[in-house]
Amino acid sequence: MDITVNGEPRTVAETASVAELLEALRLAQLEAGVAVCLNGEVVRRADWASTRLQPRDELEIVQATQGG
Amino acid sequence: MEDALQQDVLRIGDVTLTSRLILGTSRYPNNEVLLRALEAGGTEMVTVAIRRVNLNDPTGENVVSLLRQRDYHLLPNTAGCFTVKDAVTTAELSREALGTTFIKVEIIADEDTLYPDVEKLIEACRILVDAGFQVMPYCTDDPVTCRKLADLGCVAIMPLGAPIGSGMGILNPYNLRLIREAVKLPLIVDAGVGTASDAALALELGCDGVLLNTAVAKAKDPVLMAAAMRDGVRAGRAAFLAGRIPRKQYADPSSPTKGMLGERPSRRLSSMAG
Repeated sequence: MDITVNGEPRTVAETASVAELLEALRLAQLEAGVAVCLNGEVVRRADWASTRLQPRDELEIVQATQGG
Repeated sequence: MEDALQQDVLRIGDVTLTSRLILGTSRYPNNEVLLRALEAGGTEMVTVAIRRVNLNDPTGENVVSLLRQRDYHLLPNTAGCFTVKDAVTTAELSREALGTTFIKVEIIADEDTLYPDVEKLIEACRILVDAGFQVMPYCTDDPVTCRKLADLGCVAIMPLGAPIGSGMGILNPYNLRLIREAVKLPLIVDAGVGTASDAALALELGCDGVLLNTAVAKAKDPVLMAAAMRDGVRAGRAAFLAGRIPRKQYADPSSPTKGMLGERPSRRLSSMAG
């Protein structure tokens, strides 16, 4: 199914969870310091494995970086 | 000066700082200079932003892990947010990502001046205070706005000295003095500091600290400027604690007037007018 990740279109498995997507993106090792927002709502780390993605979902994967 | 300042800690929310200089982490030539500058500045709290992970290079060097290793208190900001919803979401993401409830709330109204949108700022701060955040708003140097932010439960107030990155210093010291009278919370001048004397002035006016980024990051020698800011902040704070002399309109001789040799002027300057 098609979703949007960080503003870019992406195709993922029908029953993919947030956790599985992060694993596929090789972001698992960045877990500390990464946060996820699904359709404008924050998804807590504890809920990553149980949150299934839906078609046309908009996901933002963010981290802390340099800033003033 | 060392003894006087040693006990002079700054408490913001549940954190105690011995340095009154908060530094930003962006716009440095490279990470090595950034880390050396933070060390030279003696800062204990640094700001960070929340941005999308680069999915094409997710394990690319991220300085935040280096900052965490060095035990800096991280103060995430809502830079880049123009709406209440975005600021609130960014704060929630920063809490998730970093495990801190501290948040510097900035909601900008205009991209030329980067001036805060006060209406949205107050609304976002109210929401975030209610959600349990330790809110530090970047705001205008307007005593009324600062008082409102203090009353709604922020842990510090951060009025600008001049627009972000402008280096113009403290443009309205009179307002900062009014804000100091109106607000009992930690008062941190955030934005516009250009050089060490600006930082010193902020502390001399009774502010509790300064937050700056561009003044150090874009200086010709950021590490040296960070050290200068460290000393400027400490000098300003010591001068404030020492209790300055009042300003007077006319001179007050500093050498004794009894037992003077020689002639005295027969007229005073003011009587020569007209």
